Amino acid sequence: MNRDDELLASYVAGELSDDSVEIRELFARRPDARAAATELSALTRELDAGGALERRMIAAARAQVSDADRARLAGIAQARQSAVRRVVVTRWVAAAALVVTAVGIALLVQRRPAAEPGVQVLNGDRDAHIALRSPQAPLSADVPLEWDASPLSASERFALEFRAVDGAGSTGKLLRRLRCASASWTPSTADLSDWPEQVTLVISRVEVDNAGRELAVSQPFSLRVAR
Amino acid sequence: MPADAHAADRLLVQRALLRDRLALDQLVERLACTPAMLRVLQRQLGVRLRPEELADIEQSILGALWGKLSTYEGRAALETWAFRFVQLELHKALDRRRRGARLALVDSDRLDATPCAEPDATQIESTTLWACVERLGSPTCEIVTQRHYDELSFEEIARRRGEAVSAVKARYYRGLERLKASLEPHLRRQL
Repeated sequence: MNRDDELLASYVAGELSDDSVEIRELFARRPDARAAATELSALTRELDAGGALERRMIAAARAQVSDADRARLAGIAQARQSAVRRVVVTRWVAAAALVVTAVGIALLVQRRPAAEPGVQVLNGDRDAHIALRSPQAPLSADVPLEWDASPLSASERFALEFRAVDGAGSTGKLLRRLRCASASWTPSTADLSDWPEQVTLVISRVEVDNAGRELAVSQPFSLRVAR
Repeated sequence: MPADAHAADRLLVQRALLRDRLALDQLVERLACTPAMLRVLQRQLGVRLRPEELADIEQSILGALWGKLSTYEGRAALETWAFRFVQLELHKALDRRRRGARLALVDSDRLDATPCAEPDATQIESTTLWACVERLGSPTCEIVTQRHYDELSFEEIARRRGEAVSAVKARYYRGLERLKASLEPHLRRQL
């Protein structure tokens, strides 16, 4: 088959003619090859004509090159190179900006307090409406501590949780946890005797049953304790 | 032999793309004939473009050509590659122009004084012909190109490829058969 293709290639390319012994023998052996080779010979003439025309036109174009043509192409080349440089620089600037932004976000996250004050949750609802009304002055024995909240149902209570605040401002040790049936609680002297100067208070609305499930939680209130 | 029969041209393009100043200058000099190719093709196709239209097409073709330099594989000489690119882009631009129904209210006084040739059927087909040759893929595309566009003998092609002449001829013949099959839907003239 390769030998036939080789002969047919020589035939269609005009290197061998019908007079060639090998070609006569091939066409006698494979009559179908003659028609195919004839068609492909026409195709090679198309290719030759296309190639020749292309060469002529390229040569004509080369002969017509003007200084203005050179200048226009040089201008485009220069503009493209500058654009590539701009893209590279822009990418570096964008990468640097990304790094600065990432570092900034990391610093912000690091400095953010562990607990977000002021967020109140009621079964996922952020409108729990528990706000401390009094005392305005430091927390003192026998002075009522009162807060505003929507009325409790029969199955609900307020839960108060006091925690110590250390010198660095961190909330820590649990001082007292208690429940109230109304929006008020009055500490006694004994209650406050061993409390530090600064405490936090969180007021929750809880269910009496269901293991005291929290329905709403106030923000942490920071209170000074009178001595 | 590598697929690129014009390795020196390919190297030149690569160096220019890496901003080698000397290579860039050489490349500009080699491709400076591109605007002239457009003018030659326009005349060959018998297309009458207003000077500002020609300038627009030239600008977009030169920009696109430079942008496509990285795709140059060295299968043809740089100028031949550029010529085929210009040819294809000119046809596209003319198609767009026809579709936009902005045809030819030509001020004859402003036309290029050079006489226009009648549209040439062979030339019109050559874009399709070349596109089909390219679709033959490597190495058949290179063999057909070297034979008909670079006018090399089978012996020279075989020598450059480092292959036997018989192998090159066999590839060439099978390539022609495939080319004929792919051209059949496009052929307007009897072969």
